[in-house]
Amino acid sequence: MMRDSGPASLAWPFPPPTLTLEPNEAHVWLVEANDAVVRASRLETLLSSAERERAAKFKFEKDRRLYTVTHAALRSILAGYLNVAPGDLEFEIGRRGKPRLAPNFSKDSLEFNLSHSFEVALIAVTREREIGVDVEHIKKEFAFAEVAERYFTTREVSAIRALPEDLQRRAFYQCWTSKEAFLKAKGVGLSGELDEVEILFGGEGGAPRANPWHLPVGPGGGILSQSPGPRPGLESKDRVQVKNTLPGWHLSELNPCDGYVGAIALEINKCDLRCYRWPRPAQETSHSHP
Amino acid sequence: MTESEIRQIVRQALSNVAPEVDLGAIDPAKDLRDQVDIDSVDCLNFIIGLHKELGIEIPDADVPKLGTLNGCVAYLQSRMKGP
Repeated sequence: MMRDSGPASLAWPFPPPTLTLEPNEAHVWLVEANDAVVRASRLETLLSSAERERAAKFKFEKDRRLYTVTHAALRSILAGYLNVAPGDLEFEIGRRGKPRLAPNFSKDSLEFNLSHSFEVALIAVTREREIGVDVEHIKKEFAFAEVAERYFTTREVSAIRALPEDLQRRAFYQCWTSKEAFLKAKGVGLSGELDEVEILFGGEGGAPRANPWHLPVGPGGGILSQSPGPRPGLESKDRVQVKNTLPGWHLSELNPCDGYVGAIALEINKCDLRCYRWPRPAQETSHSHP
Repeated sequence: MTESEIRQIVRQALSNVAPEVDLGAIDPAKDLRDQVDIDSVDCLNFIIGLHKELGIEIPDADVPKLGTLNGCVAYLQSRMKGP
């Protein structure tokens, strides 16, 4: 598959000219709020008046830019699936405060979730089921061990500590984004039960390995095991194969770009996950997927 | 501990997780996330910072009460006066 000119090990591809979203699929879109995207896009024209007002409330330019880019991308991406103009989309607050499309756009059963951190956003889209996504910028100065001890389970803390020191920080973020994606899919956010899904690092026996794959264990003891196959953004394929033995849920790590970790969770037994980059050059504001 | 002292601790905890933020530009009555970009890890770290400074355990269910600077101060004051 064609990729952009960035480093091959880090790039997510642009979408194909014709993009469909099957019921067993989830699409994750990488949005970077960098200068090139801002310059190339008429972002403000995509936002509603309420969104423009909210963007104006941000005290700092970098926060305003991230909000504007992220919500313009959300409208553009969803409009592509629905074949409508981005500015025509309407949203509402759904169950437990989770944003969703207004009823007049619900005939296609499109579900989405959005997460952003620092200069990157991920937008996850599927049909007919709950979906949650989280992305975090890996902060080099952040004292992650304290947060892990407060919010992670004893086994998760032990597993992270058992890893080589240079892998522990990333492992913390892998663990956190997986939990957060799961909670967001359920619509409970930070006030949810963080130990409802437990993330373990290691192989089938649970022993930590130098190159960790997360193995989330559900409340019933089921295990989501991610096969050591290609991961989006790190390998030369744009699909990830997941072996899922936790009934009803799919949870997968995402590697959007250097310095960031993400995860996606959705209520489905078997998911075909595809990752794309937004916007496609020169067609940023089109309401059909480039 | 006075309200002013609690407010100073809240401001310092916020500054620790978001050092780029100009605290003088923050409206204490408005939602923090409408004014600065704080991700979920920043939020957890902010709560831990408050816990370390004040010795108050903040349950996950109370996190929504910490949405504004004023809300943080009011919540922490009530917890310090409480049982």
